[in-house]
Amino acid sequence: MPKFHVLRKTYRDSVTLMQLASKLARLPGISNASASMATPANLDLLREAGTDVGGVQAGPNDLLIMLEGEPAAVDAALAEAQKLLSDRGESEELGERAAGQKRAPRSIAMALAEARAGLALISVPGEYAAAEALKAVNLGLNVMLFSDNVALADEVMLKRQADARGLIVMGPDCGTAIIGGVPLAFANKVRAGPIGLVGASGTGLQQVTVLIDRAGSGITQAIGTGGRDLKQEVGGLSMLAGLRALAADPDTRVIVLISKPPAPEIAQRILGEARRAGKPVVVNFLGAQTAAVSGGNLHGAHTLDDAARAAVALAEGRAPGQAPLPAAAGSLPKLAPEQRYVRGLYSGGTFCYEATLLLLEAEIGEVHSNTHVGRARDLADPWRSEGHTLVDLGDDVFTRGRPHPMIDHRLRNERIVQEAADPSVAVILLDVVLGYGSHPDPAAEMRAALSQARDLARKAGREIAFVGQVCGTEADPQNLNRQSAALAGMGMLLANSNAQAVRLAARIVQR
Amino acid sequence: MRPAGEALESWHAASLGARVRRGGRGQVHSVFARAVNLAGEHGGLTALLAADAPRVAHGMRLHERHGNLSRRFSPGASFRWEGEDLCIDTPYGGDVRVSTYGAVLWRAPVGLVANDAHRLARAVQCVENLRLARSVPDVAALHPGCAAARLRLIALAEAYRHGDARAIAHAVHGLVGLGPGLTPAGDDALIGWLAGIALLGADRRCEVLRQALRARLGRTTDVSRAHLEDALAGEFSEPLAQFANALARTPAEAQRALADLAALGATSGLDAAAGLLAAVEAAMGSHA
Repeated sequence: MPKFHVLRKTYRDSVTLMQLASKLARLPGISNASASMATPANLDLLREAGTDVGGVQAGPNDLLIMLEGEPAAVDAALAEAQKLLSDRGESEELGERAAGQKRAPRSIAMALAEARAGLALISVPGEYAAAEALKAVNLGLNVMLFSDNVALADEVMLKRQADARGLIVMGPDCGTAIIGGVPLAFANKVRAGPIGLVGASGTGLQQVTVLIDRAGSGITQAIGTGGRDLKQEVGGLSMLAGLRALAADPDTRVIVLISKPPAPEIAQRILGEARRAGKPVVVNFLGAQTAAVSGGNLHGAHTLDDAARAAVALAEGRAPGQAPLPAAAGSLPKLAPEQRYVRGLYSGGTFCYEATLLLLEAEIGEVHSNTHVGRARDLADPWRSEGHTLVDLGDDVFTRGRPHPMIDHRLRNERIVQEAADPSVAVILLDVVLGYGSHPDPAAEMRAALSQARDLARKAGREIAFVGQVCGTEADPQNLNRQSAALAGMGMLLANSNAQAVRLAARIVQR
Repeated sequence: MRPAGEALESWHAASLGARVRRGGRGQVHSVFARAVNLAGEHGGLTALLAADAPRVAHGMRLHERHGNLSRRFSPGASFRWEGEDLCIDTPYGGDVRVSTYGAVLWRAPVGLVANDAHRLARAVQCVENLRLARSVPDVAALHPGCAAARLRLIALAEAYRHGDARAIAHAVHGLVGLGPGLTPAGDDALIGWLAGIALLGADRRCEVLRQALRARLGRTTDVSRAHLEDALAGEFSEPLAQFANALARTPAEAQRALADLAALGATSGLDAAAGLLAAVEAAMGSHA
């Protein structure tokens, strides 16, 4: 039997009530929940759904909460509903004011009324995200749209609206940005300096900003665009807007562009704008020929590592130099003859993409991946490796119903042990991403899996090379030195960058 | 604490909607960040709107920002008109006095395009473009009430196309008050529908719809009722009127106006847009 609760003359907007109902329905022991104004039409709707509303005494201006489930759970849910509603209620608002406390604003407009802002970070379920972003743009705000599952047509519309108003929409699915020195979402704490970045790739931006910081330089802004920005339909609107903003910024002396290769027409538009920037622009279109994106003020970079190195050199007035040969701390393990393959288990999509390109270049044999890069073969089953395999564990197939592997290491830990049981595996290649948003202590999280994998291999008379890179800085909450020392202590061979880690892995299996 | 009746603060209204009636007294009905609804002793709501809130016909908009209005006023507090000044009791003692002296009388009429073939063609083309671009998202997935409202809107369109008076009244009956929030999705869609009628011109079917709606105003919330009464009087909120008028200009203007309308309420703007587009399509798709 459903239980009803009527709150007389209580008014909440539809999104608040939908969120309330959804929250209540997810509580343990609750099978059904609704919250709506008790209008005759809404009561009819409940009746049509088979709910007996005969005893309900409520009118159109009353808020009706309906709960079905186990009796104890229903009582608890009702108490929760009252608490949630009173948290938002006017009386408490006044009480909070009297106590000198500040309440979180309930809308972008409310937030704007209370504080000056130039950017709204939007992280709501995809179905609501475009509408929220549009509100922000209409209020004159730049937008970082962390949400994914936004329709491509909505992305185009949002970016055109923003463009017409001289604003930028970063995203959707923009996971990384550093604006005005503030790391947003998955981003690292890096020094301020003369280099500005625009990137369609989150971990790509993280890698380059971290390497710039490690080289002693720093950044002005790191602007994310979202992964679809350089598609033909979107036209690179965010990258163009970011590029123009950095070109006009007197503090930015060098600009870095990071993306997978765009559609040719879009690439020409981006490069045309870059040529007009009036300052050096390092272009890293992962997988593109560097000669095709070089000339004049444009400097093509083959890898993310090269891009960081070139940007720092140019900012210091030097010519971009060659990347050094890979070096890693620790001694290389002795491999059995049947140990021939590299298995890369990545939490960063761009790291996996770059690794696949570099492993193909190393010509160590066929490379399998779920990132659909160049000559790489698609994995028949992403849950099982074959030959040399590089897996992006942030792919939708792995993250359905669970957090991203930068936050939750469980899936990768299981896969590390699974790979170690395969006698043909020589190298397990890993990325460890630090910074805001990532796991607070990845080394500790990986310890048991690395130990179990090593023991498993040793029992079979084998040693496995664990090769990796830590993408982070000293200033990150997890601290680069502490994490690196812990991972090295577990026997991991650490390279300075993803590119160097991949080349080291290739050298190990080529011995 | 100051005694009631003494002015705590003096504010100024910048504009007065066409349906605001000054005079009398009553109680604060409900309070929100950007709006305070005032219920007159003889019925009807007047909205006091923040300076950045969209204007409505039954609302008076403030000249300057005064922060979150829900922190200033509480439901049940008394208000009264003293000449051109609106005085509202506050929980801190004393009144907030809002002067309407010099406020601009405001209305946003929707221009009829039915007699202008070029503008009519542009409006129809704009509606088609917006539909093709799926600019008005389907909010039906959000809540059973929204889903039901969308289905009943389709039923209304079907009834309108065929000029079926009974089916029109039935669809209106199902839409009024349908949806979870303060201004239920069904009401928003009907308001949009009336804006569509204002754009294209009324006919017999329209009168059937109006009569059905008037007879069912008691089936929805007081706040939504005030908006429906505005719409029945041919008065619409600023972003809705601008969107309706922009349809007869250029697709770019329509798209911009739609973006402004989408910012209205949680889903109200988009529900109204859905109603307006459905009305135009239904009216153009029939010869009743």
